[in-house]
Amino acid sequence: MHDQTGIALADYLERLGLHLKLPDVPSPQVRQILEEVRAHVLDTGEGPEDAFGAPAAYAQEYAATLAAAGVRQPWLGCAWIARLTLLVMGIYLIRIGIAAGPETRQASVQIPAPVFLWLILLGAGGGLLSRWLIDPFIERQSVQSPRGHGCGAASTPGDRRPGADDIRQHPATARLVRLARQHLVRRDAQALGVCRDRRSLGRAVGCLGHSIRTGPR
Amino acid sequence: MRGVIDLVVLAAVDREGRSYGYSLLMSLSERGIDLKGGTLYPLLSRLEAEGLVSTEWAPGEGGPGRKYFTVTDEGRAALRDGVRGWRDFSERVAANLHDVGKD
Repeated sequence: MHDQTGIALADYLERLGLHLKLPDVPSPQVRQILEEVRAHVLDTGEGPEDAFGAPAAYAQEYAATLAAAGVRQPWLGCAWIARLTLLVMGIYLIRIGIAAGPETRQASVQIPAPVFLWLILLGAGGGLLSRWLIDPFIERQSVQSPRGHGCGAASTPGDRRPGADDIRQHPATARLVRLARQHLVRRDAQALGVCRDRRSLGRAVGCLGHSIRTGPR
Repeated sequence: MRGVIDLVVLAAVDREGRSYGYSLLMSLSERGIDLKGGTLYPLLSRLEAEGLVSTEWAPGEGGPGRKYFTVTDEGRAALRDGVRGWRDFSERVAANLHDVGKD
């Protein structure tokens, strides 16, 4: 493979991986999309932009196609179960505290926990385990791809340093600002509801950090 | 038109048997349909999500891994229905356009 083609392909894959991660395309799908592009370019010798268009537009189109077809992050259900269960458990515990009052609080602690409280605890534990174990596993599968990709995997030629404009114009910046705003506004009112935003916020920070390390696009 | 392109691609996968993206593009091109990779792969993903094609990854020979597509039974049934619908539609269109430009 010609060096220039290889550099253009690596650069394209890195940018495409970043743009696919932002709309929360599941990691296995991101890996497959990047492999499709890589295989196609190596098979045909076409430039990646000629065959697939700009990375941002292609990522957007692909993400919309997958979303319309109902392809979602597999852990999303687990995370929501965990949040709802924690919420119900919290409301229940508060209700016990209110019902007991200061004089009888000691007695309320001695009330045998009903079966559904244990179910709630089991559900919360299972949901959280799914959230913390399955999701990192999926992410790790993505990183362990033989030709890594995503925010930080594809190699970047040269040691480029970005200027302020590069960072300001980077797609991750806009998303970062939007998520930070959502996070701040909703922080007090919906403490549980921002979990997903917080995760996306972390990812956007990671992607932006990578772009700052590797240089402008 | 999107439905028609889906149908054409599904027919190509059925015609080629177990096939990958580039071979499908070549097959389509030989029959006068030139698609870009940027059109084909999202479309195939949609067909996969709808259960009309199944996929498997196989390592390439010294190259990148390849995703192979095969039409499922459900896909073959959808193809038959789609072709029937297309023939019916195209015959109606042809009947309406038959006399145009004959004066």
